[in-house]
Amino acid sequence: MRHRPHRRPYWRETKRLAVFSLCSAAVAIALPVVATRMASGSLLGLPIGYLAATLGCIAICLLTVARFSVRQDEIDQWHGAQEDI
Amino acid sequence: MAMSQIGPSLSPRLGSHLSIVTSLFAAIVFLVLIFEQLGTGGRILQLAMIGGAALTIGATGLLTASRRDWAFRVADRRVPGAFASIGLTISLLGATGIASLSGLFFLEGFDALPYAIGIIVGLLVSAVLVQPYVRKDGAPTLAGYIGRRFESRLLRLLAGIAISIALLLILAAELKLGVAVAARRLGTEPWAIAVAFFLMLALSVASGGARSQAWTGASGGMLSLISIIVPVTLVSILLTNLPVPQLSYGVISDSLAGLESRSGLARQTAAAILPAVPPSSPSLLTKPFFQPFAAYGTTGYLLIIVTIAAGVAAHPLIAQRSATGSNVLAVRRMMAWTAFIAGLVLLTLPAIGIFARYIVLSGLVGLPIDQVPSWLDGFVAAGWVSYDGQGPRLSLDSLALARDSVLLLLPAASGLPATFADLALVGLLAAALTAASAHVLALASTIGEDILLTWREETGAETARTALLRALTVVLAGLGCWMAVSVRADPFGLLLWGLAIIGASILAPVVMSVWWKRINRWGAMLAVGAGFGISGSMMLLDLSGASGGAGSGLVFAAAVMALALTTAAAIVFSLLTPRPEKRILDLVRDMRVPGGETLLDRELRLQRASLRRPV
Repeated sequence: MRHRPHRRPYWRETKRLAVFSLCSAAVAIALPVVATRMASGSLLGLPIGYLAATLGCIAICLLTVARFSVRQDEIDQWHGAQEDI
Repeated sequence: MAMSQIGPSLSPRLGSHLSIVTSLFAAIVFLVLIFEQLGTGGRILQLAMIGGAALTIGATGLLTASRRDWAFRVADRRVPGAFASIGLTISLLGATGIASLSGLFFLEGFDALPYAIGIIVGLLVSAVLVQPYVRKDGAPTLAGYIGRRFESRLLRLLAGIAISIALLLILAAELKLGVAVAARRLGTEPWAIAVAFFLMLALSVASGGARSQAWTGASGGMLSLISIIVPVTLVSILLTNLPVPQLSYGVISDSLAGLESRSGLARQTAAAILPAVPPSSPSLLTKPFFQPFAAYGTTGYLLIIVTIAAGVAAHPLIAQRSATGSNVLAVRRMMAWTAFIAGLVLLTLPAIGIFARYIVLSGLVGLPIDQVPSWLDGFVAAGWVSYDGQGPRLSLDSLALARDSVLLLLPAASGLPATFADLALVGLLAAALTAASAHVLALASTIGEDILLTWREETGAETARTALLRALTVVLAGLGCWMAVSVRADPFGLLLWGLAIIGASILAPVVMSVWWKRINRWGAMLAVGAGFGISGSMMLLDLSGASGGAGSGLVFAAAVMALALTTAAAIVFSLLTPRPEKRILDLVRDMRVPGGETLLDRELRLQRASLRRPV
């Protein structure tokens, strides 16, 4: 990854992954508001709105962080970006 | 050239170390339990458990002492991700976060969720947008990174001041909560606890800086996690027969709703725009647990999340811990593990709140006054609980509980042996110590490197630099302990204001420094200065009571308004002033490829090589 032409596709993919991750965060933030208004009934003994707000929201964020970590490593390896520049 | 792999670890026996610490502590807890059943005095057992935990952490600090400059500042950049994440999670949440959030869940139920969501979203943003790139630069502090990225020592100084103030607030919050909880629970003078904290901080930070903090942070974090999760797991087994408190409290949700209804807890209709923070003094239960958006509306919900997430995303502790990682893989793993451990804790805190609420409503409310249990009187004597003793029965209208005491109340109220209440206390003290030591180190590094030595070169005088940083850790530990006993403020309020200042003044320039090449030093300087000015002045207004009393919710409005203004100001001012030089743009391009040797290490290596070259 010494040359600029190699960096552009790398940065493009990195940006795409970052945007996807931030969109997931936005979904996690919006989920409690939507779930409490839309959903009724219960699951695991808890109101669905509450369950979505706690477990759903935190699970989305954790999965996003895990996916980011794995996918960004793959992008780095594909583009040789783990080498010293 | 070979792909960079995980670098040499801090030690090949890190797993053994954590296993030994955990086993030792578990052995102490079992011994204390046995002696409790044999009738040994509670005071001796309390001291044995706290002393055992303190000795374990203190010995770890002594055994990892170091005189070397690079070990003291960045732990030789050899801390593995998973190992760093334990201490980092507990340092970020702290005793203040753990105690206050479990109390908030008890008092506000659903409406405490945005605090937890803000923390986890902040970690996500930090992992994606900030940490890999800050690590690539290699500066030991966040203000140092800002100064290097924009090639401005004045900006480094300004960022250093803003970060120092915020870190000092959070340090005071952690020590204040630790001192207050221990002094009330043990019936000791606060200053004696503060002296003990000072000695522990000297052992865990001044001995070896980042190196010893990495080790003691992991030990303290592990003890804290165990001590907080074990009591609530036992309560979960007692109440639901399931050992997974994070998921099992649904079993009692219907019973809780019935109890709330019978106790007169009605659904609330009017929601305030600005969310108020419940005070640390005893408060009444006012709403059903599962009613959403009763204490504030959607606007307040978003304000809390943005304030907390911005503060966590730009938190200097994370950047400082990233600088100790061997490579970008270690940093990504550290962030992933930190998010997972934080997620576990944040799913446990609602369980603590709901179990405590269930036990209070089912076991205490309606009890004849002459049958009030002795543990409740102990909490009344400590100032954590108040009730009307004149009536015939204990009523929900008069039973008020302090927010920060719920974690300690749960094991006592559920009828577990007193050892488990002491275990929860040890968990809070270990969290306070872990968070305080991390903040003392970050504060000493920021004041030493970014304020006092801003205009000094990175190379040379390593011994004097290390001596200065070591002395600063001792002085700041003393200052924090003094503030813990002398400053009158709500620890959770101090934590929120610390996060508000960090988010308002640091997040925008740090994120834009990577993701928007056009930002220049003038835009960044305006962002840091304006963010610090707005949030700092609002904090003074709030803490002085001029805004209607601390906890009025001004912190959230101030933080979000300052963040929006500073982001806009940084963009506009950067566009109005000259573009960054090509040299800086090249630096950003290098930083955007986060793998490989850090830029600071490369510069230092080349400088040393040129000094050694024969003429």
